[in-house]
Amino acid sequence: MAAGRGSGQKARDLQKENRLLETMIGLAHQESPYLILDLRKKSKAASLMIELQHRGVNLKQFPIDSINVRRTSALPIEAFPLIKKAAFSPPQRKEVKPSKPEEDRTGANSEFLELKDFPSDYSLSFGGRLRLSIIGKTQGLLFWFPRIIRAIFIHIQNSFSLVWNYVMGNDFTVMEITMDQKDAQAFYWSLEEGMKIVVIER
Amino acid sequence: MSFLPMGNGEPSWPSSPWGFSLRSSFLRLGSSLFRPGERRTIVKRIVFRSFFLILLALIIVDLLAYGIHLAAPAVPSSGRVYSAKELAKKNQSLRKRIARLSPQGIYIVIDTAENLLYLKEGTQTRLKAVVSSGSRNILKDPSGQRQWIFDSPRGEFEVKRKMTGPVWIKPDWAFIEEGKKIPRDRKERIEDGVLGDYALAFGNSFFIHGTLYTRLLGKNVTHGCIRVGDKDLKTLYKFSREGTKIFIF
Repeated sequence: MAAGRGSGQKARDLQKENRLLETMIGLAHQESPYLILDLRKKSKAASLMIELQHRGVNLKQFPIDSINVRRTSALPIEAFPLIKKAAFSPPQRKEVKPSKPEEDRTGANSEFLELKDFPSDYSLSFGGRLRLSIIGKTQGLLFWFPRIIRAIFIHIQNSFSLVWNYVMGNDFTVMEITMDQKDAQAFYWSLEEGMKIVVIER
Repeated sequence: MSFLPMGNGEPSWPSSPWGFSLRSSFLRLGSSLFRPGERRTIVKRIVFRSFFLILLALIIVDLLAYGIHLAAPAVPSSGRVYSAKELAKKNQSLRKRIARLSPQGIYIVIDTAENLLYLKEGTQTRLKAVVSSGSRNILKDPSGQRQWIFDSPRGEFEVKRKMTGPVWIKPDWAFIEEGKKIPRDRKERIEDGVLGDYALAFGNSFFIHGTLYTRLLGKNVTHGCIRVGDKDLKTLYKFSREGTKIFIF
């Protein structure tokens, strides 16, 4: 009996792995990069990561500090495209003012869009089926209180969305992800609309 | 202050199940508008009770959301059911197919957020270099007919051409940026010695090249090309070949 349950579980795991590999091969054939979030990898030794991949090559890993998942139904293993990046203050491109000497234009005094200009708190909507709320973890006691307030606000907003989607009969998953501020900003920078994500649940 | 009258002329308020009534608070507020001391107490009470009600509503919604999550159904399995042995074999074959799509040999990865370049082979990093990438700025032609966005291109590319002693053929935007007139003679566009000793062209007039402004390495300051320090550029030139894959994100 126990052996039967064990082999059943093994077959289910293999089935899941098969579905994942089929999805990944489809993504690896495409010309654009994609994201992989494997929730099975969480352990005491290793933290969760969002992996940016291209053609099966791991380009970058964004470590996750904590994650809170809620859903109306389990997320299938398939690729969902990024349809919207929403941030309170999205970065604006700066306009070059002509007629400056070369050294000034490329110098440290000039204005350029840098990593620190990018938001660390934002939400990402993937195919209307999945929402990732990213919260950048700022250092220092001074920033602790605003971060908690932001996290509570995002949590409440997601609760409303989840209940609304449940009432409307939609399949919906929300994930509240906390990561280091710099990683959150770099992650925002790396995202492009249309980029796909695959989430593997435990 | 006026309230919606019922048939008997009394204002209509929903009764409160929690033992206190917003109706009585509002009625008392109405009758005490001209008594400042009492009015303040009643406003305080209304604010406190409204806050309590909102908090209660939020907790209920959150509990509801948690309940929905707990009751969420699993994804039903679909399609043909394979045996464990068949699945293991299929998965092995899929892994091999994915590995075949990955670049063979040396490849270059450029992280434009952190301004880092990696020369890799498989999962091994052969070189990690600090670079400068696109500023993401906009330049507008004073005529208003053209504009340029100085982004480094993103995606998958390959080394198209390896060059030694490259010269820069200045495009129109370089003259507009300097506030100069765009020359008609091609010779006036040629600038020597600004791209370093080597350059790797990866298409659409974008290059990985050297720089005079080494103090700006690590910053997003370029017009889209990738600037590398002299020593790292030499290593890149040595190990890459035409066709070497470049991934930029």
